[in-house]
Amino acid sequence: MAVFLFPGPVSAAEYHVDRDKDNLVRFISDAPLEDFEGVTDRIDGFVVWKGDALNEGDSLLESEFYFEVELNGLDTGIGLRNRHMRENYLETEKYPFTYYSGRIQRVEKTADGNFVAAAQGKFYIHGIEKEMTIECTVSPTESGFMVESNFEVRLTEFEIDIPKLMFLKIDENIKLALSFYLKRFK
Amino acid sequence: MIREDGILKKSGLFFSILIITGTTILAQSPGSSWQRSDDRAEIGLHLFHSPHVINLPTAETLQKGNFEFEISHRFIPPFDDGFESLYGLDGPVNMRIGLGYAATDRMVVTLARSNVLDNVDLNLKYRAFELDNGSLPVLVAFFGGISWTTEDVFGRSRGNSRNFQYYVMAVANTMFEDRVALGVAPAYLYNSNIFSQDYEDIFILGSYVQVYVSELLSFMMEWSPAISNNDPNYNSASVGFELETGGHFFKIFASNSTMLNPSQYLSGSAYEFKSDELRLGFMITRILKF
Repeated sequence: MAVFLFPGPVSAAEYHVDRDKDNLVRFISDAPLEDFEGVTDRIDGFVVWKGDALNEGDSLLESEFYFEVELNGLDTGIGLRNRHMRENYLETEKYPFTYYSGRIQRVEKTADGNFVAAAQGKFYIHGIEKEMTIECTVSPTESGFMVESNFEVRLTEFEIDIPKLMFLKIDENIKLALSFYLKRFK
Repeated sequence: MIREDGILKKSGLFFSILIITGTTILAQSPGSSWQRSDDRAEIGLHLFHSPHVINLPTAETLQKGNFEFEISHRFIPPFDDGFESLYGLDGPVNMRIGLGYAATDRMVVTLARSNVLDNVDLNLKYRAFELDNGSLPVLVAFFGGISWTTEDVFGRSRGNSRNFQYYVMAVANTMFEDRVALGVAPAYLYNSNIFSQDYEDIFILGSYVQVYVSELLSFMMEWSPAISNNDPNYNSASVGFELETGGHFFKIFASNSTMLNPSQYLSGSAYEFKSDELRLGFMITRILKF
């Protein structure tokens, strides 16, 4: 069990992914002959930081986050393609989750009252972990925040085969688009 | 839960940071009480890759909302005729075109037509249940349909009840080591011979095996022996290979049967299963989503 008890007296903000909201994790494969996408709402995880409000400043360096996506939840709209993706490429029986885990590195407030945050952490998929910096937009909501992020993952860096089958074309660079909600936990 | 790779590495990372930097980490990384929920994505049991072997169906269906377009040929001249008829490819051919639609994740309705007696076929496959106990997974489906011969037979009217045939089939599949898939498909066909004086019927014990050798390639064999007495013909059997892609299946095979629609292949073959009576055939299916 991934239970990390909050140890000290320092005030901290803790947010968990609000799984009741319309969270969306989407990947887009944009190959010349065939482009397709896969979606899932199965994202979960948390972010904590020292202090209370989300502000620009040093306290965010004392933060931790972990977000994961259950890969068996990905749906490309075609059952057979999902199966190929699970069994031949992502190997979800061995590696059922992908995650991104690390620290918030920088937060900037934008003119419209939202935040742009840069995170430094480890991105894990298919048994391989790599350092990655990912930026996201964070918008305050009634119960917490909405996080939106777009980035690219190069499949070969994570030793995911590029299918060589005829009529199945996959872009080596998969675009990822995430939008999910965080709810204040404490 | 701890065995799952993601969280294992995650906690590994966390604890190694803890060890390296000592107690100061506690102030810097307040930690979280987040826990992974037990709720998991349902992917169901999938054994055979295609909903079809050659003539016989597997228990596999399609994802809800998906269509399956099929085009199949059976070349009438035997392969043994050689180069003169291009091993049968010169034709003539029996063919079938069909379109299936998955109304749910468990149910596919297919409408198809074969040029053999202009036979129109409407069938339904329902994926009934699965047992996934790890060692011997079993997937069971029921398949049934009605076919209508619309070509003139003995001058009788098209709507004559003798032009309608009905069939039901139970399909049970299993798979070993993700590679060797087996199926049995006992079937019953009513009005198996539309040319006979009286109604006839036939019981068939369809059976098949498919061996998946790579992501792309598999080999399959099927046999449909009659187990009732009303069998004037030979039992049909086929052997071939399948190429699989993201949305297509290409199947190429040799068979003693030149029939395609279920009511027609279930009634047996006019030819014996021996080397000089084998015919080439193919089936191409494409899964579509609009």
